[in-house]
Amino acid sequence: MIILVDPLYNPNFKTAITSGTKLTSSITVSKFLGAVGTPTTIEEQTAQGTDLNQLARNLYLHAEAIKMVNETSAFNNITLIPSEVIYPEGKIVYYHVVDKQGKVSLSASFDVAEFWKDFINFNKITLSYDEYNSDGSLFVSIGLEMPSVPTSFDVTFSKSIATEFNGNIKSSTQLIEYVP
Amino acid sequence: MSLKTEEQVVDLNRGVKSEGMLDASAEHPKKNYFFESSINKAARGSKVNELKLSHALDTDILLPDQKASEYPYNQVQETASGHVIEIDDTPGGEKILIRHKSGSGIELRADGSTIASSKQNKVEISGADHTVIVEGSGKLIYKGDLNVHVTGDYNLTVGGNINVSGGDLTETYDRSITTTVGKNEIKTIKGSKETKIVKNNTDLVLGDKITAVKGLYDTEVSGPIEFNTGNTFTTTAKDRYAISSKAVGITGMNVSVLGAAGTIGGQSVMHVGNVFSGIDDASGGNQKVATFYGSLVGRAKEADLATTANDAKNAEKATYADTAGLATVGTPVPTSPVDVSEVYTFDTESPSTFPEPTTIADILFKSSVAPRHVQVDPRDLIKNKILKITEYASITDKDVNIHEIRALLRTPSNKSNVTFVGHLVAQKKLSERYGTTEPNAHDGRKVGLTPTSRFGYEELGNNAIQDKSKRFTPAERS
Repeated sequence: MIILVDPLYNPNFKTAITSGTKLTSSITVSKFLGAVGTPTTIEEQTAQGTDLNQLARNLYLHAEAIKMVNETSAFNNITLIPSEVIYPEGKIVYYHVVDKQGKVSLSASFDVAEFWKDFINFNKITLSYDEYNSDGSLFVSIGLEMPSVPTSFDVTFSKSIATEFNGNIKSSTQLIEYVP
Repeated sequence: MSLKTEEQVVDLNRGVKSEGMLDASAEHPKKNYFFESSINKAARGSKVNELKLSHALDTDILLPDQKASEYPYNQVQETASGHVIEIDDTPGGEKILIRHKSGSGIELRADGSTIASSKQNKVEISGADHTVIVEGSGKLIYKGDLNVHVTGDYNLTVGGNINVSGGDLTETYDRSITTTVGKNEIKTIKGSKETKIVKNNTDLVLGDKITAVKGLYDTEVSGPIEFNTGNTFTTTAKDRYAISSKAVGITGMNVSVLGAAGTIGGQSVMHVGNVFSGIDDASGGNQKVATFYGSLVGRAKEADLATTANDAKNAEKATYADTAGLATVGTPVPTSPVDVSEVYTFDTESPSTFPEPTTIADILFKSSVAPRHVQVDPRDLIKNKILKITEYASITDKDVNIHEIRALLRTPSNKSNVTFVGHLVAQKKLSERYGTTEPNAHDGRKVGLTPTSRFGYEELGNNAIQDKSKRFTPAERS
């Protein structure tokens, strides 16, 4: 499948990828660089040999996934925040779904994961629960894996879903909601 | 004001349909008003118009839930596309709302809170000055970059502490930096530090200055070096101390050069002094324990035994030894060399009258000038603490928060590293339940890969109201 890319935000047309490079009208590369779990800089990634154009192309798909949630009225009361980016490629990004109190919403996280499952193309969606918080409370991130995007933007999506808890796979065929 | 003629009235209404007040495009009533009152839902309190807000992790925007309006207190104007203006006098829920159909807008809430929200760009332009006064605390969250351009001066005054954290810091100043620190400055650098100074570097320390280096301390100077002190100057080296130059000068009112073995002198070196002393025969006998080669010119106070003294074979005492033959035979009286102790007497030492090897050993190992046993962080305790190697087993060298911990634990080897997770648990940064395999929760919804049947999110076109409440199943995507 060849993805039709908005030429305004096509990383292939950028002379240089910077933190300010726009991936959609309101999402820049820095939104991912500043992920709370894996904060980094363009300079650091350059030093580590990351192909910035490849990174930007992969993140473009993530930006489109975020945009889709932002533009859906059912998600008016939540905000999607990239929490971890798996470098160097940026194919996998974990997200927090945050409510107006700034807390991660378990139910809304399931809603977003289910929404993505039905409305976007992806390689893998993982509902990643854990009890790592110091108070032992249940927490969830959504892991969204996209394929590596070539310059042609011709990609194949191998759609799979999974649920994990504390790093242990609980299901590799279902998204499961855990209710504390 | 004169009445218009019939022709003029006709002209004013030209092009306007006689049924002009009707809804020609059949926009109204909106489909979500079918079979109910045409009074706006927001006016009746069956709907609360809200601005589209963005949120941030761990940041409460502190907005209470809105109270639904009560009829007839809320005056609502809503256009066909969805723009809304509300002036609400509902007791306890008084508000003013101006909302664009996109969700952008301004809202003045019942408690006096003011919200301005823009779904796209927001531009503020002030033709003159701009003053912002906030009585409480503030929080600015930019999920992208932030660039601040100040044409004039940038003055920042903070009553409390200033805490800055980030990745790289690059500062470029065209002119000078003046920093005044009221108390202490402590820097910890986990990597290297490099300073380049084109001109001079002056350090004035009015207290002590201590430099400890674990590795090589190399100073290369093209010009002259001066180390001057108004007090004592002590340098020691445990293994080897070398001084070399084309010319070396050591000058002192009292100079001592001592060694258990070695050589002082060279082919054209002159030894000038009052006394030249060799090792004495401690037994009082005639053991030859010090040897002098070459010619002696001058006066020998006493010669115990001379086997070769030009033409003298035995000279017990010679007062003039140009030729020892003039010496008269006398009784041998062993005489100690003149007291040279002050030459090598140091502040804390009082050696015997002769620099015996034991004396030199005492100086080398027991005196105040003995070479120091230098060890700088020999077991890397300081280094490990700074780099958190002991605590975090080299997995990370920074103080991690729960989000970073979560990211690190996605690597199985990190999660199984007992040292790493043990410290995190001990520091109460990580729950003891990190290793459990069953959540302390019950199962809720479960969905497979097959698309889930759901209600529509948006109203599409002028379809019947039933369409919105109808469930639909998204098509499977290949």
